[in-house]
Amino acid sequence: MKIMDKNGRLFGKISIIDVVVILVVVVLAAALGFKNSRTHTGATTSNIPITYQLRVSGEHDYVATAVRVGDYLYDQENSSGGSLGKITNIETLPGTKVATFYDGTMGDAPVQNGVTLLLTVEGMGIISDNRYLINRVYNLGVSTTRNYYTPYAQFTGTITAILE
Amino acid sequence: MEQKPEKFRLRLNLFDSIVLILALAAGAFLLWNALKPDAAPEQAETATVRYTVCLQRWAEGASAAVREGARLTDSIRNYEMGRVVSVETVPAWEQIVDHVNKEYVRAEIPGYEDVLITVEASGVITEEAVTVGTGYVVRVGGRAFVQGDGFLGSGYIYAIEREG
Repeated sequence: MKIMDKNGRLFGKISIIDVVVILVVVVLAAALGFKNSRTHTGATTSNIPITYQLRVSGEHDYVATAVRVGDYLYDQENSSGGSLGKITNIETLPGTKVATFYDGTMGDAPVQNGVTLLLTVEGMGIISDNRYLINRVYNLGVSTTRNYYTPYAQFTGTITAILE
Repeated sequence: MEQKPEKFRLRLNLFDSIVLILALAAGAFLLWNALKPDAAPEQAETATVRYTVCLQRWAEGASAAVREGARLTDSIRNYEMGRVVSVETVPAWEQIVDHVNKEYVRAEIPGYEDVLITVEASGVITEEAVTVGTGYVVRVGGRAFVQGDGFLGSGYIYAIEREG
């Protein structure tokens, strides 16, 4: 039996054109599936809860009052792909922040009518190449100081710990 | 002798049918992806929002210019902010470093007062923001530039009333 007959059919059954079209469709479908299964970072891991602590130092009392457990946290300037997580706990400490004094010294100084908030936040993200990425895109790092907001308040805070 | 025109007959073999079905399925998938409605927007709650803006360092007595019922707008972006519900004054203050006691204190400014204006506006409350009037986002701690009937001032959002 000939491999291809005079009508261009393989073994007299299927057109060589059909075979090519089927192969093209299969390759395109495979490529699409592969692309969609990859994350933006190239990792294929799924989202996990990431818990971290944010310290808001020496904030005015009226701002602290507006921050509550259950509020969602966002970054004011950096793209975060949505919320950075939900505030699950708030610890209130005496307000202090760094000051420079005329005697040439620096140090933490108490703040009148100010408080320091220690926020525990739980977000969803991945750990990739030793980086904690909230929403797979927002790089979370201890000692990062950024401007944040909740629906009701805005403030500056520093990540002090990642608890996982 | 006149030839009869050949009648068109659609003949599909099994493989042509499979290819046709695959192509139609791929087309339908792409069309659905292009036309499908966006994901449901996050739940938004329409409500009357009552908040307080603090306009700083007004000369004593100048707050008489702010009357209940006055319409407020953002003097930079012209957003409507709502209507004045009440006006209260407190001594003006500035946070400074007390270099003797090495602490931050609120120093009162003689001859000046801060004007606390409570505003009511219809707004939309979401997980991310409280937006009033024509798009003004209210957050405690955020700067405010306010224009009313015959007055201009700047300060910050001092409080937002919320349930619970």
